[in-house]
Amino acid sequence: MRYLYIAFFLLASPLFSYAQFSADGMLGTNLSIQSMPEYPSPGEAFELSIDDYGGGAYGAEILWYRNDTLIPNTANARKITLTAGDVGVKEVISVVFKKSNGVTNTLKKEFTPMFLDIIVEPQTHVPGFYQGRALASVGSTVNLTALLSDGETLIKRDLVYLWKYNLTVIEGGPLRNRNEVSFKMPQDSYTVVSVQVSTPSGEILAKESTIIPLATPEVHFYEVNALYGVELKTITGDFNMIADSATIVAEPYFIDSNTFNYPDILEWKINNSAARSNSSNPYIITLQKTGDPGAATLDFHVRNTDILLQGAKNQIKINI
Amino acid sequence: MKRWLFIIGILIILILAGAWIFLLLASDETKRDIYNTFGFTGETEDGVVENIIDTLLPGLPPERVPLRQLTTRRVAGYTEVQKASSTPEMYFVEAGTGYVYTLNLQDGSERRLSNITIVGAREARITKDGKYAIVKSGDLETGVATIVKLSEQEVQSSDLFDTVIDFTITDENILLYTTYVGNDVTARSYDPESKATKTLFTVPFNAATILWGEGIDTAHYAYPKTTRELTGHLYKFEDNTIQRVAITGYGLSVMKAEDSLLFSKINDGRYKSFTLQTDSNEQKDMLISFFPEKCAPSKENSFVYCANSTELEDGSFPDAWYRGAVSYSDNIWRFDTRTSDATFVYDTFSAAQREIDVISPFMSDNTMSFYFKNKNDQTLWVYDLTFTDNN
Repeated sequence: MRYLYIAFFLLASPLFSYAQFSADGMLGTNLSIQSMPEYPSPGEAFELSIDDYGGGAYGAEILWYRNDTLIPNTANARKITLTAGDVGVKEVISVVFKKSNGVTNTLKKEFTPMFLDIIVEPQTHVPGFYQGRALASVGSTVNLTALLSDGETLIKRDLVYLWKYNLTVIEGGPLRNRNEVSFKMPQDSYTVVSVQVSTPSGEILAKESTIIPLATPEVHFYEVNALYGVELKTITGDFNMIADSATIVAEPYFIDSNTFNYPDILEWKINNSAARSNSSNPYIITLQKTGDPGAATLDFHVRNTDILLQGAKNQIKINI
Repeated sequence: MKRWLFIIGILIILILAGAWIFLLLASDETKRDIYNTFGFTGETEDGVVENIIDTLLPGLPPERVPLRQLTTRRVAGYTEVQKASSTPEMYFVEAGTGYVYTLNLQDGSERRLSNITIVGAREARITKDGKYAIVKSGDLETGVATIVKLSEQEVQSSDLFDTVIDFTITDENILLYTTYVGNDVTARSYDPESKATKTLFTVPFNAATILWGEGIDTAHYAYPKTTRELTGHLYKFEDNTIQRVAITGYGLSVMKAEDSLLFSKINDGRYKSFTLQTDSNEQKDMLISFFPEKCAPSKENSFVYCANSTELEDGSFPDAWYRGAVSYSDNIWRFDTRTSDATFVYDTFSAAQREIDVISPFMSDNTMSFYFKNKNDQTLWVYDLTFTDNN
């Protein structure tokens, strides 16, 4: 019986060896070309490496070709770095393995670089005069838009989008024709958002990811001029009240729009005593000089009590 | 005798009282005119052109100097108007009131063209022919745009139907603007003469900065609003297609020059500037970095004039600058987009003895003047480029 096992093993060994080779008989099926990133954007540097954990390319001479042209200075390299070509232009990377017995084999990988952009638009409050983009804070809604371009125009045909933030798949699976999604910003310092775009038949066209940093909401004070509106310089430190009265607006940055519109806490304090906004806009307060000259502190606090980090406060000193 | 004296005395008192009441009513009329300036948000008041008001700017140096402050008023918008057979005039709209003035660049005198009050006027553009001013008041995102027709006979105003987010005026005196249509940001054109409106393109995201082309049918560009914390990508809108331009990066800010795009983005934590030739797609590094929003291109050569200071070394720029938390004292530089050479031109602080934080820069059509506003007080300034070699 033991001899039968040995005989079977010896006879079967060529079958196991054959499994190491590809269809034309030389190399292992475990041999492949890996790309990092997997789907490079046009003009982006990417790394190609030979994944040969089966050892099928042992001792082979390795030659790299780009569209049938030998890539200089890459002979026998198992890892090379290239720059992706123009958008929408298909490229073929070939790796030729030449064994010492004269047998050659070729692996191929095709690329069609495309631009896949993720537009991040956090739905947090910034003042109307602010020219920059709002940032995301804990629990705030973040809108994401994926834009795929082949160089000629944005591709709007029937596509399937697989969205993730960190390890969470948005809406639990691939979404057909949904290049716009939203999610709630988690508490992590950074959130990695990714999208994979494929055809309905499953062919992957592109993948992309981006990092969204977590912003801390802040409040800044600005003087409101009756004629010119909000002055575009923040009041920092001391505010010298020259006229008999002054109007000040507290402008929260990066608090969720819902918290801005429906805050659980919104309070003004003058010298630690509650003060009331005398404007239809609760973020505006008008101060009037009374009594002797001196100094006072003005505090502002806005917060969502369900998400305690969804809020901000600040203080300035007012010299009267 | 005494009765006659008494009657004469009563008559004199009545005449004096009548004269006093007449003067009182007349002075009330004057007061109403003045108080109209200080109405509340959203109100406009039609009126007619007043008599010429000439005001010599205080402190204007009699001799020719490279750097001049053109206004003491806050300026919402300005443009150089070239009328037939005359030297160019500077038209500007006063912030807060929306009044339109013309400014004689030789002697500094001002003349008010429109006394239509547009309370809270913040942004304005004026057509190249000086016939219309478009004034935006209130919030920059949701404000109302008022179209003021400037005429020697009668000044009229009307509000544009759409909410205007971002706007410009072409060399053909057509208003180009973005507005919200549903959840989309749509660009439209409006001809103030024919009142014809045309939809140009739709931006596939909301927080967009628009780089307007020279005309309706030329290429326009858009990218997500700048922040150093998130990536931006540039898109070109032309012939009903949206094309992605090979420009991307954190803190992306872009400016359009004659045949190139100038852009800055964060590389390894620091702002770095580049040019991209629009015909060849060739990209070059700039030797010195700048912020495109502080630059204006020449229409006659490959030069771009920029205001630059230490802002790009600041780890919070431009977010803190947008917030108004920091300001800078800028110098003027000249860049050649063909060679990427940079030349220092002028130290504004040494000349003005105050900080000038440049915004809204503009190069005159004859490339002789570099106009800009000082963000610190919204006043209008000019640097005379004839003081610079090979301008």
